[in-house]
Amino acid sequence: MTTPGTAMPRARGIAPVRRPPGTTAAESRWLLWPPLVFFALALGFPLVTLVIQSLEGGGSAYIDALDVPAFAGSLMRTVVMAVVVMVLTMVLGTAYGLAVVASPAWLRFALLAALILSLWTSIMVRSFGWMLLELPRGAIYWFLGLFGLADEPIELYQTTLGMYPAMVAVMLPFAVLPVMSALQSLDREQLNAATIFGAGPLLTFRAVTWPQILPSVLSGGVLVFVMSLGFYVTPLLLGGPGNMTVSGVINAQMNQANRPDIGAAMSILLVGGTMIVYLIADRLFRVSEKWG
Amino acid sequence: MAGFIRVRRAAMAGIALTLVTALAAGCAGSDDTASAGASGGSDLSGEIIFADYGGPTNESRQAAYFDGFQDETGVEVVSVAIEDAIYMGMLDGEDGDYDVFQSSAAETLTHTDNLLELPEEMRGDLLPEELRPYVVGGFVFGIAQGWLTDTFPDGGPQTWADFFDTEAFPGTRAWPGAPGSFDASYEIALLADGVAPDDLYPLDIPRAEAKLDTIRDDLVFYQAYPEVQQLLVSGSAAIAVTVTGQYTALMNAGEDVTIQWNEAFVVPSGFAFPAVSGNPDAVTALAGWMNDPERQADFTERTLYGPVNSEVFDHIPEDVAANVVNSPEHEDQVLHWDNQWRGENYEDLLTAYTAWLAG
Amino acid sequence: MSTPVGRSLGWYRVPVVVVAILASLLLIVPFLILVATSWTGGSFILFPPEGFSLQWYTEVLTDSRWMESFRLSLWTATVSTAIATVLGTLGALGLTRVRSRLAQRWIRTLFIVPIALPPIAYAVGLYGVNMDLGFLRGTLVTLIIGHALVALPYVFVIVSGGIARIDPALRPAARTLGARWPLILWKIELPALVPYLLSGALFAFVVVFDEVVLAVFLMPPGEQTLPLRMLNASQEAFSPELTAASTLVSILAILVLAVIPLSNAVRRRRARRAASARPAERTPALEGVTP
Repeated sequence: MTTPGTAMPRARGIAPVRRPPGTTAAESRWLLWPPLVFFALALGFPLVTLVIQSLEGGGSAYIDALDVPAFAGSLMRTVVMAVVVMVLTMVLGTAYGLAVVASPAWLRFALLAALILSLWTSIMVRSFGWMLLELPRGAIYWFLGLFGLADEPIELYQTTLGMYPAMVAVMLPFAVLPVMSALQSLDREQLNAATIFGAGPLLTFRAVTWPQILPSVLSGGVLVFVMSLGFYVTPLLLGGPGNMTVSGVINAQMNQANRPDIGAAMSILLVGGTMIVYLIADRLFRVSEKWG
Repeated sequence: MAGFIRVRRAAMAGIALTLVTALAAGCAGSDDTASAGASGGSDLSGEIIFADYGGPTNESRQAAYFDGFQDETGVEVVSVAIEDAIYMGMLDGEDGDYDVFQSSAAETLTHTDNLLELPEEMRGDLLPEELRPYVVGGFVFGIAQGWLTDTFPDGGPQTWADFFDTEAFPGTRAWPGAPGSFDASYEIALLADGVAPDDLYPLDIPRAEAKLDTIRDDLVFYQAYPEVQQLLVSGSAAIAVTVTGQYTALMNAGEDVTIQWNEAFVVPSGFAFPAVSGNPDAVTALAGWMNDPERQADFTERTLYGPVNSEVFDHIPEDVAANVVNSPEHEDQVLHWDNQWRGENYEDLLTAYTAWLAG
Repeated sequence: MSTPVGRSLGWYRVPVVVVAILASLLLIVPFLILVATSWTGGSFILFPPEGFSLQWYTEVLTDSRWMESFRLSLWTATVSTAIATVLGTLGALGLTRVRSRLAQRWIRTLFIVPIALPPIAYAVGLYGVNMDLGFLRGTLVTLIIGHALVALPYVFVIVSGGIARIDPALRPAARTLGARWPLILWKIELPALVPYLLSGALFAFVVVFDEVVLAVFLMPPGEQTLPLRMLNASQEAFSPELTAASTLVSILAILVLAVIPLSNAVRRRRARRAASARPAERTPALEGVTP
């Protein structure tokens, strides 16, 4: 497992040798060094503590971690969940961002308000709101009852179907805002030019708008995917214990089981796994070339 | 309700005061030099970092114990929200912030090497013998089934076997669903499957899980105990299995709740006194303070948590005692679990239950 | 509809807006449910609420502990966000100066590690550091640093998305004209990045403001941030105080949101008035030819 601790010196070793034209040594020193030093301190120390903790039993914690029956299954489940949430969120988020920019002022304000209000409500409280909504005799049941549509209690709470809307809602702002930022600084002249030369909406979108917002769509997607790997309470509460994620298992090890070494080993496996997935995705889909 | 609010007000004032003094102390310098306040001539000084799960129980502690203790000794009791990973480390003898922290009987019993013992006269006589020296501010809760009384007008489930009988008692059951929180799940399933209370230990986990699987589709899982209140009141669950404090909270809110004391588990709990505690003299004094029968009676009335000092029952009215799990009138009905066995097999229980939950 | 993007979408605008409105329901409906529960006359968070009463708002607003927690959260989150914004932006800019693809890839990956790391694991690690370095105990330093690290990736990722859109020819051009790198940074790159920087900072702030795991481990005894206070209010009973406090925070946020567009509108109106005073000066070159 390669930890960031070993990755950094390598990166530094290469960086100063071949610099993009017109870049001075002072420039990269002043720009890149402060965050790297901060990372070394704020992430390096605790991470080293964690690695030491996970190796306390001579590495047996890693074997024990894989032996915890819920671990491997929950890891797979979490990755699938994160991919589903990422795809849904990217599609909805792009539409949302476009709609904000394309709407009349009142609708734009309403869409923005929905975004901000939800962002400013603690995730714990929001999950609770979803619970009240989805309970067999919760708000949905009550609402349908107003129209005489609810005979039976709703069977949505603690099902896989009941969990995704809440997860997408938590992640949506993280996909929308980058797209909005990109759209707001879109080159209008290009759009107008496309229209003048007779391009239809589809062609204009494909040739002008999409390439300009793609980096932001991707960066939103990256954020959402990595954040989704950390989902814990939302899927447990709304999807039921059958949708337990790897964070739930790690928390149980660290909090209840008093086996911080196993918890540490699991965390390191999770971080390492995330990095590998990300590096592979980067290689395959050239994510970073588009947003870097 | 009014009484409840009054308690809250008092607690708030107390905590606000604590905050102000703590801030002043913080400005003055390090914790060691914190001013003792208006001390009533005692030798004690400083503060006690008291880690519990907060909420109304903490406010009751503040009112029943801490406010008076602070006036008497000048020692501030600073309540903090407990973090499991921190106190677990302290049980293992590592350094940590807490001077005294909440810990289950099983955890306390398996870590006595790193805990301090209390003097004889401060021990709660209602606690299990082996636990007595190590528990500060002990209290007793139950794990029982309960329901809103009008759910079963003709009388609800009497035994755990009834709980598993979804034909006779239809409806969804609220069940602990947080990874690792196995509570009494295995014991309950085995009792329902016909195991005699005396033959429960060692627990037959596969058998218990097989029994649990038979009603899995009728269970709704809660992640945190208070969800039980929403599940019951909204009618989304018919019966719940949870700690009795939740039923108390429902009663305080004016709901008519029935608690089935038959085959309920009596769970002794309290606070562990770690060897690395920063203010041992003050904690010892607090332990004595909290074992006083009148103060404990006050706490019992506020929370309906059972006392650990048998004299307390002389100080509380009949109707309060009826809702307390370890009161003499429930003695023939309730069950005790094997703390020692549970402590020694904690990790297996936890792993197994987490795996069962994850399906 | 008025905006160029709106026009460029033509009739496809309709389905896009409909999808967005549906998506906004996902955001707004749970929020409205929560608001409704906060005005209950009872003591449960329950929907539909029982009666109407503002008692829980009174409870929160008159309780100095809630206010203290709010202030504490506000300033610690501000400090953490400021650190994260500066360092995240520097990192994103600095990365473009790195030529090697491999190094770039690794550094970029490193910058997202803090989100991938389970908070509980990071908190345990930081707590260990806090214990080892005695002088940090009882201070907020570790918490602020930890929060800044957690928030940094949001700024980094979003600002990186913005950098990708700066015309790569600008920098060499400015250089040829003799501008040194701090000037280029200040005059060309940073102004172009402001919207991204702001949305990055907003995410950073919101994430830190809501963070509770690190806070449980690292808060000095006796002090509580807002999420910690909320956690406390959710122990043993979900008190409507929880949703009342949460609603108050949202109202504050929406007020701030309302002020920005209003001030923008005022500025725009002033600008328009100024422009109409001398109409010849700024005629949109292509607007008039639009069919």
